[in-house]
Amino acid sequence: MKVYVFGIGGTGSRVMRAMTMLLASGVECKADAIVPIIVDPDAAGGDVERAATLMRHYGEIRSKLDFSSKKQNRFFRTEIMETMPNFRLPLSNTEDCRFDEYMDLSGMSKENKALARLLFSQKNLDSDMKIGFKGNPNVGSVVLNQFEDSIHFQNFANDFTAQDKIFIISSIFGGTGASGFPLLLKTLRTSNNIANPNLVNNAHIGAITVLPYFQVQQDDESSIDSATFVSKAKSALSYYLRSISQNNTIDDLYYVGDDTRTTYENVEGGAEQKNNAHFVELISALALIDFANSQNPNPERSNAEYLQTVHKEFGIEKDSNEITFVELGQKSKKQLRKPMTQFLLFAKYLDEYRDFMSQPWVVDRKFDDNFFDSDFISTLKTVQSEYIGWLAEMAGQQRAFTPFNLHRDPNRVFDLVKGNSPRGVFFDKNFKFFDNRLNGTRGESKSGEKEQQFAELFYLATEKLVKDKLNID
Amino acid sequence: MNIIFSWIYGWFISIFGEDLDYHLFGYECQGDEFVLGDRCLYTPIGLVALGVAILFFVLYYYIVNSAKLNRWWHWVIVMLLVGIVNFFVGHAWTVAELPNMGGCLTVYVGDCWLFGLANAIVSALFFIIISFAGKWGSSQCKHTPF
Repeated sequence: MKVYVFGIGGTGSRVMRAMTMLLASGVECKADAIVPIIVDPDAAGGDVERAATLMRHYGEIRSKLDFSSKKQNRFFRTEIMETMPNFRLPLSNTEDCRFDEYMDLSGMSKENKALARLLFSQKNLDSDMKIGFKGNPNVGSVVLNQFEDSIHFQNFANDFTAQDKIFIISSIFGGTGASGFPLLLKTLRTSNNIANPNLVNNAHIGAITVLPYFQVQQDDESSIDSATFVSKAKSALSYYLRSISQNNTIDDLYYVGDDTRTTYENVEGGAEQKNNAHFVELISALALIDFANSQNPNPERSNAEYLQTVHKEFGIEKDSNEITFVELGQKSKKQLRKPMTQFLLFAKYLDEYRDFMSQPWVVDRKFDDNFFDSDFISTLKTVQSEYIGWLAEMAGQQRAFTPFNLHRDPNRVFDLVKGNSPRGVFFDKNFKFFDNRLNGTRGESKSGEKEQQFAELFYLATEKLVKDKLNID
Repeated sequence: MNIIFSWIYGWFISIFGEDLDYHLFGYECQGDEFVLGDRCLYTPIGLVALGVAILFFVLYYYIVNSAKLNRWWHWVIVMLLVGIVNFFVGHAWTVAELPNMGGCLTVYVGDCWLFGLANAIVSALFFIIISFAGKWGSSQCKHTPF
């Protein structure tokens, strides 16, 4: 089963980044593959580029690994498929073009021109399409009404099978996401001009609508004003209620937001729009995983009378501006704590420790300098460094997700998970204890591919480490 | 067993001298004559050397079995410890035998120190052989010393 994930706008890309981190760490996802499709006219957007690069690296690492039934490694287990160039659904006529040119305002009749000027401000009409809709859903709703015409969208529909699912990620308080979500949903549910219309129209579709969770600095020159976020969200919610929830056009609808908000720099778009990671994005990625693991509440869409939309929200056990695993509910804690800790240990070992070349786990499996200098290790280290950076970004937010002590002290390697003291008295300590567990792990047959042996070995060793030292299983 | 241990210690007679070798092999003085008795001391001393080597082998490879202590120089230190223990065992054992040697053998305390040295070398050899034969089952030190 594949889950096609449409990530609309900057929030869509940031949630995809969080999703990639969770899948890299091995959070359980029952889908065989995730197919990310980024919908964002801002091709040069920092968030888009960062998410796409990360997902490409994920794919490069995963291509060297084997996940047949006997393998135990869960790092990078779920496939992330690149079916579109740079994971992006290209939007036509949005490059080097202003909104009035896009609509061909000058070619309109006098009456239509007057109507357009009624609906769109001069600032709207002058706006540059290549950096997105800058918080203007009225602009987005025009430009994004072109999914059916896209060859890549047609390819998606063509590849779609009866088992596949669709998930849409969007924010409700901006421009691209707020306008793109209802349009995309409408296309998916009603369009007959695509391949496999029956399969796509009746597919199990879920979405997450991200309510305001950050604000931007006030800038009179900018089109983005965070004072309007809440009012925009309210009117969009009211629209979603009428046109989505009450019609049951969607099967599962998730809501997430936060009233404690970090203030970001006011950037309208382009490479500079690269917001730090936020807990809300991680939770949105969890919503995607929850959706992938869930049953369709409406297996028979033909009978409208019995259709229902399942609404879900996320909450934490205890309100705190510093969220650790302790503040999470039992289900989220169980889902996240073990894999995230394992992957962080794996990352720390490769990043902070050097003295392992004579250890039996290296010698026995002939992991030589060539292997440690290979593209596989280099890409893996890049992803792991991103992972640590991603955790640090979340820890720096106004409402911080800070479950780990992100220090580099070689004498406190296992003093890692907040609220969880390392236990046990062992002769080997810190990274030597890590070596001890690597040496004592049987893992993959020594005749297999080195990359596979390496990943399997680290997965099994970190699994033992978190159990022995941190009592996490 | 007497023959095996006597043969091994026999390699080092030039170090600790023939007279001490005679006594340890089991010769006794009866007047000015040597008589071969049945008390060969090479076997108990050799068995102690072997036992100490096995004890340190088990401790290093299977009890401590540490990823921190699996470099070649850690192993050399353990081998030296085995040698030091047996150096003193060999010396103490032969010093204790001095009153029993009779007038036909000329053995000095210095010879006892030299026998201690020979015993240290023998025990180190035992440790080397046992290490190479039995290291493969150790998870942390299977490639130690190399």
